[in-house]
Amino acid sequence: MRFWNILWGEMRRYWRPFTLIVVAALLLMWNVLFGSSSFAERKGTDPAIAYDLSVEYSERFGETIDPNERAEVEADYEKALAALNDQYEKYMGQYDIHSEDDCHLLYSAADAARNKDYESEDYCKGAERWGADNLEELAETCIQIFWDKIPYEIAHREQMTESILGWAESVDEWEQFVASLPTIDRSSLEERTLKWEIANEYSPSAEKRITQVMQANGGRLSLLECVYDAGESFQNHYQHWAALILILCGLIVLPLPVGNRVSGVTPMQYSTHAGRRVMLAQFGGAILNTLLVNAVVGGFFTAIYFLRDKNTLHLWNCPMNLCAYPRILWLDLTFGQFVWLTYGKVLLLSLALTGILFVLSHLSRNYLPALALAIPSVILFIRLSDKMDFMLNISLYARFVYPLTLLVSGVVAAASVLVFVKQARKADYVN
Amino acid sequence: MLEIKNVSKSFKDFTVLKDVNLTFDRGVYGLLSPNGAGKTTLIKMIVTLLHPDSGEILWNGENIASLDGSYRELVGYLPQKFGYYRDDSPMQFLTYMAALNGVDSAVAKERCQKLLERVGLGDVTRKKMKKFSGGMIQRVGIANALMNDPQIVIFDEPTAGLDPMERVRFRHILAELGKTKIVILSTHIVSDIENIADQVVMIKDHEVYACDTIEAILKAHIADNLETAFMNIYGGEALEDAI
Repeated sequence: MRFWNILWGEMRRYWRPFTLIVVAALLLMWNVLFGSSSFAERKGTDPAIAYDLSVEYSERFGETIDPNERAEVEADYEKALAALNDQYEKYMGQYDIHSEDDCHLLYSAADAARNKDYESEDYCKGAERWGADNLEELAETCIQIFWDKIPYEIAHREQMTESILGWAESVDEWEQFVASLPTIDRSSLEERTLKWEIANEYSPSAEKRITQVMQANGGRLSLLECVYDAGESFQNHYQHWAALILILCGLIVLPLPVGNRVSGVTPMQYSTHAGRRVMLAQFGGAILNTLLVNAVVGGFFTAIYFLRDKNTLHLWNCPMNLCAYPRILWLDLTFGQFVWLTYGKVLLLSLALTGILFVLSHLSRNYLPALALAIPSVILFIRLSDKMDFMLNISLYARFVYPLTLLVSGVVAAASVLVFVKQARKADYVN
Repeated sequence: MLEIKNVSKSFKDFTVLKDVNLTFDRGVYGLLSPNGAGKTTLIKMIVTLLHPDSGEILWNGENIASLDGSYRELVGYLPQKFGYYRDDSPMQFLTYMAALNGVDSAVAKERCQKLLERVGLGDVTRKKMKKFSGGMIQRVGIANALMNDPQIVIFDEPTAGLDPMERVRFRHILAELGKTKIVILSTHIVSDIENIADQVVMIKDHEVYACDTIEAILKAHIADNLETAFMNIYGGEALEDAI
């Protein structure tokens, strides 16, 4: 009971009005600066549609695909592409634009004109035959055609066909490559990594996904690309908030021990019944605050991501192990697991940072050295968090370096706190 | 009974206290010496902020280091620089310190209220301490030192910042406490001690020079008041301090 009373007292100390104001201001600032990144910015098929299509095709063709079924899928695609092509021609007819190249030519002419006189007739000469009054409007028209008005799948119809053909070739190549695996020199790290990646992609579960790639429709070639976009957009979204969470940990933890020392409260605390055990309550409070910040800030902005793009929730149980790109994620994660992993990574790093800052703040006699030690530590952890995101794209790192990094951070922090508290309980308090 | 046995303390190569032996029983003890003589170091060792390099401090025959929290529970301490949270009211601050002192939260508020009334701050219990004068802050410190009804009360330079009226009130509190508790009053202001101390402890050249009643010290140094005796004992040392 006594400990909880003290802990509650310390929690109140951490959340002083000034701290609350700074935290609120930072949250607002972050939301303005980074709050807008979302899945929707990546134009393409709605995740719900991609998911439903995949389910439909999966039911139709089963989990694997044979040459006949592949031919059927490709024929379906051809039909769909022909229909899209008609739409494309019809749409372009409105603008008298017949190909993507036309628009590039228009740009070139405008660019050349811009070198002479921005306001002159010559400058807008290239624009005249398109019926645009000036370059600005012309450029805007071009941009809108290709990014807003034309559906993504129309603009990239050629790529889609190539991609479908490319898959057939790739699978054959993989089969050959896997057959040749035993002959590969195992001494090279790169080759070993590559081998893992290839072997992983050609696993039975990957085969299923290759089928899905073939089956899904839309701007993104597949459901898997949807998942990839969702994963990457969530990662981009959350990395800003991860940085803020780590900054907030420092902001909340640091001032209390340093402030106590500067204001002379520490000797008062140490000479009470609780004595130096008050440090344990302070540490407990710091850990609770870190959990609170992760739950509130992390939870809130994760919720914002899914509220903004509700349909990404359809992807929750979809695998992220991509076949379309030379990227392999750790242990065949689903999108949902990836979200939890990202969240958990930041939580563990912020707990480790809290431990380290707790020790540093007790070792600092005033705010200046405390800041001099804390700022590099926070930056280091933010960088570490960013780097760890990239680790997931490389099998070797994802399997070993990623968990090892978390483990080392946790062990270093825990050891620092244990050694410090043990020493401090016996040491003289000299201010 | 609080016993200090053969206690020495150094910081790096500088010896602050050497082979100090003292025994405190009920009553008010004035710890008197010029600045820098080691009074605060001795007090910090009694409140366990510092640990003796050699020797031991005993409470009723047991080493205070082994008694840990159960010893500190018996100690009330007002340091030379009383630390507080500026944005707290005295009630908030004392309630927090009550929790650290292991006072049950159910009785803490009532006890804090009574203590604040005792030091004359009963009508400003909810006012933020950053608006307090130095004397008022010092009185919060005195209330804090009495929080857990301590058996040993230690005041390090307690009258700094107190006006004459407050000093009188403080002396009354000390005299009352001295009837049942050990009160150690560290100061270099002779008049603080002269009126209330039952015994005076003087530290000179890092050692205990005297530990006796005021009458005995006056007699030994052929002086008619403590200030004269103080000047006789410390001479140039005290004068340098004064200058």
